[in-house]
Amino acid sequence: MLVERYAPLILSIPRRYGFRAAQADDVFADVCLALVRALPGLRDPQALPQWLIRTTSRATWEAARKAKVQPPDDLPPLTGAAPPEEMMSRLEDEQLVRDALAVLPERCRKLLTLLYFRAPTPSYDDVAREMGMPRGSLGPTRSRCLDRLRRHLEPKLERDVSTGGKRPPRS
Amino acid sequence: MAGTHVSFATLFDHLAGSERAQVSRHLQDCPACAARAERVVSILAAGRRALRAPRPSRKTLARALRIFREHRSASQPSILQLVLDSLLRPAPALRTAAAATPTRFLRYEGVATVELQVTPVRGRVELRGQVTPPDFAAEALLVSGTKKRRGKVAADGTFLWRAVPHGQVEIHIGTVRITGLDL
Repeated sequence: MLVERYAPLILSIPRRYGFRAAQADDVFADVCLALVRALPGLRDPQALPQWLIRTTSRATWEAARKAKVQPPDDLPPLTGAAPPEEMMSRLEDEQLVRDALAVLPERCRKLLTLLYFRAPTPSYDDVAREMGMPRGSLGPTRSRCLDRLRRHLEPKLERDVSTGGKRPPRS
Repeated sequence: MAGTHVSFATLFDHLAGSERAQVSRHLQDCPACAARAERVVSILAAGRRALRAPRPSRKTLARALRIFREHRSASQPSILQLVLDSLLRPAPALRTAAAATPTRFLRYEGVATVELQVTPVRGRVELRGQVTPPDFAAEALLVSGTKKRRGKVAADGTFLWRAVPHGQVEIHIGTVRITGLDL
């Protein structure tokens, strides 16, 4: 369950840094091993994504050195230390959305994904067809689903906004 | 629109492409809404990136499961045991499509770990759980709006509620509060 939930987060880091699928799988395995060993000491569930990002970044950096993988020019270089703040924020936001969508009912998840997270955004007629529902029902359903998503995202968003975009210090 | 803040839903629609003109005018005059809009933009972009992220293959997940099995340790009985038990069940990616696919959650709160399994059954849900350590509480409480349902925690820490209506619920087990569960 933990592995399923965080696998996209973990795999996305080495893949972004130019690793092929098999190489990214090796990094994923390294991080799973580190997680097994660290789990008994991890007491704050909120801190787990940050821990995984840091651990995966370090594992990616080590693997890149050994395999001489050249990272893309548009990404900040990885080091053995914590990844750059901007990258941490982007990865945390991605996980925030994944987690929020994951707890929604399947119908809401599918509708919001079609309306807001798929590029290019399909037309309302295409969304209605894909959802198997009348076009006129999309609006009310969308509002209910968006409200559910808001309840999951808003506490975090409001906290970020109230701190002027500055996130709390990382543990 | 002046004088009131822009709702989350309106911001989503605006920033995703519709209702643009009307909201744009308001954002120019409302720093609070502009700050929220900036966060919504980053969330929308993050969502699009998140959906492009690679999914683990069956082989990758199976390898991870082996790692967890091989490093199972008798000296780490509570949290790790539950994590392993969760992992050792067939993962969605390894499962054949089922009509009523259960969703699982694991919450560890320092003093206790609670695993929940939510299964849709005939328009409602069945909520099964297990708390570790099993003697952490004798009773669990399901709160749905103003309604409360008590559930007995068995000797092995398991508890069960059948025919729970969809919606937001909370679960209270001893000092652990699991809030914001959206069934």
